[in-house]
Amino acid sequence: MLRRDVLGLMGALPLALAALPRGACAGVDLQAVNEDIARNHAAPGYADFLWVASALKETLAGLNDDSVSLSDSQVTFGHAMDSWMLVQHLRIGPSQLDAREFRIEYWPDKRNRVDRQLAEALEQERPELLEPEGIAGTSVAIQGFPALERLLFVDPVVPGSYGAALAASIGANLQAIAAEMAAAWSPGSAFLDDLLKPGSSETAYADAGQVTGHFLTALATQLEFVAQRKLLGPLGESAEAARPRLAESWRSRRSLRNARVNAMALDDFFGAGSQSRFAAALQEAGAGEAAQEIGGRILAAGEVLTGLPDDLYDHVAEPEFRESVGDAAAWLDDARRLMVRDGAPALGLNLGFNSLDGD
Amino acid sequence: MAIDRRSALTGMVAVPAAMLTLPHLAADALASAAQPRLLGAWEAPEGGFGAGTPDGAIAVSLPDRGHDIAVAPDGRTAVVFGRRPGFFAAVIDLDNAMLLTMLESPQGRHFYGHGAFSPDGTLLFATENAYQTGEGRLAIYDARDGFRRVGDWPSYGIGPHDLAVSRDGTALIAANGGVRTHPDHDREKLNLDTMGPSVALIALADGSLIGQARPPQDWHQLSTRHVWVAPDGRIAVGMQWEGDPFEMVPLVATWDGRGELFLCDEGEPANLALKGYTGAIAFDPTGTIIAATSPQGHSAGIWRAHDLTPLSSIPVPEVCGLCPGAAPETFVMSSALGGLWSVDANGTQHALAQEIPARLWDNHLRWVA
Repeated sequence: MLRRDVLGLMGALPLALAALPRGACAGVDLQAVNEDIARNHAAPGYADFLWVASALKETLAGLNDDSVSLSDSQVTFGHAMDSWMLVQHLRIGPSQLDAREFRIEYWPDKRNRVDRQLAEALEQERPELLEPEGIAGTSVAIQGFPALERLLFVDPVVPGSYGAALAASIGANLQAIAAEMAAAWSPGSAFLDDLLKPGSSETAYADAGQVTGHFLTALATQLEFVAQRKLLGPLGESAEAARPRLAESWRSRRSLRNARVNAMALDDFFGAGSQSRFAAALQEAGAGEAAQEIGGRILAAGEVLTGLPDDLYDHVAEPEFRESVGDAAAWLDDARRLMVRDGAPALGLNLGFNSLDGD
Repeated sequence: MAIDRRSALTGMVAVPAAMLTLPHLAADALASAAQPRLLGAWEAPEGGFGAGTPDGAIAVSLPDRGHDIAVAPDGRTAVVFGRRPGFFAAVIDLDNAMLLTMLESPQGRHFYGHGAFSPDGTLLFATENAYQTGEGRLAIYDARDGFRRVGDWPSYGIGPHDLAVSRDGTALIAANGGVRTHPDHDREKLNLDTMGPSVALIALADGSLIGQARPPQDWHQLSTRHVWVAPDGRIAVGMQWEGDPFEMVPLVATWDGRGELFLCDEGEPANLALKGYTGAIAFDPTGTIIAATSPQGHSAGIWRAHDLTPLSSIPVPEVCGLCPGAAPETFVMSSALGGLWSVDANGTQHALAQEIPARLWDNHLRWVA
């Protein structure tokens, strides 16, 4: 079923949802939503990412000393990307510090900064990039997955070469960033204290609604990001106008797999299967229908994407493929629109002036 | 929510020039008149808007949100502009901590929240929107004659926002954000596809255009909003991205008043952390470093001025207000959640004396000597 007719959101601005005064949605326990997301969605997600990033670090060290094959390294790269796709949407707290989100994955990269800077690094063979502080302090563009993807899939590195050592260094860097983020989402961290005890700290969140508002912003942003940036952008207006190199991870031919995993993560984030996430909170607020509509659309997008190959690059001109990708994007865009129109107000959260309306 | 200008202004009549409550604070203020003081606009946690000093020695009620403050060169008068679309500008007698007069934007015009005095203090300039045509104007008021409106000049662009005076005192620097708005359409942006922001250098002698710089064409949606002038005359420009929210673009630039804008590296963490938005920009007192704040990114970044090498980036919830610190290579920053800090080049924050009472600081801070 096509839902494109109800969309009109091209070029929509990023959302910021800010809480109305306390009591705006009496009866809905937003603190419970926040705690459930933090403990049962974010924390396990980041723990998994740390686990997989640790495996990637070891694998790439092995590739460098010729004890692990290139194809095994490519497989581990894929696992790590999958895991990153499960937490990519959590643009809040730890991923927003020290540009971690961009250090992990500098994308979209319209100006092809990764290519330019990686070529420069390989040309100059700077030894400091092989040290933890050196790689963590260098250009954001070559610290994470996009640089690694080129080193493993485009012009695969040879064991013992500078490129292989750089890949190992990037693997270690990703593991270090993953460890910082996992720690921040672990019980007892200063960040979680701020997040889950709103109003008690002088610099963080004023109330639980503000925290839920940030989560909701993250949900809406990722719905738009996947639909517009990952799916519709590369698809283009027509097969002739397709721009598959705008897709995420096209070099490793896993662009749609990324989107599919994102949709699964958003389904869990929205919490159709949870007792106390957005879906349950909407039920509690008397907006059960909205909860079903939104959850159903996220699920539908995931189902469409599950029926498609991992790769977008080599299929982008196929009519049926194009239609299905367009459908998936439409479901996600529609979920976002409903979340903003019906979901947010039902929870007493509203479009914030702050980021939509600066000065 | 568009401001009803009439009710805002009649409301003012009922609002006393409130410095009020605690007379001993006023006495302290007079005693310390020689000390540099910070001025800012705020919202009180319990509601209501005002502007003045953190210690409350100066506290003037405003009919709506204030934005930036123009301080007269002699430090005796300050003008708080209403946030765009602003229909008022409150002229404050700093010596006596009281409201002198309330300026009202004329029919068909509104303020953009910023203004500046001429170097001799005789004229006050304010950025304005002639909203029927969308043309940016610089209103001129005679400070010697009760702030009588005496004319206006073009700003040479749409959506003039911040306004400053060049270091040599011969020119105005207008940040034409390029975004057209109309008060009937709230704050809706009407021309994002075609916008052409610029920073314009305008002769104080006659309002003629001396020079103008624009972001590169493929970044024409980089809205040049705020400017700050260094002791050596260099201009820092703070920008806001109105384009694809997922594109990485530079938000801090410098300009020497002649050539092109010099842009910071868009891919560095300090820039990325601003999340496409700067709310304020300033040089430190020596002009060797630049800071920019982003309430959207809950982040402040610091750059070396001469080549825009990023030096640090710190998370500060709802940070926006920004001005040079008391010491070299420091800044003062404020947050809309309350709080004032001194911040050095490494991003180390020190809370300044707790303001009395607590205030939710609006976008800008200014020193009055």
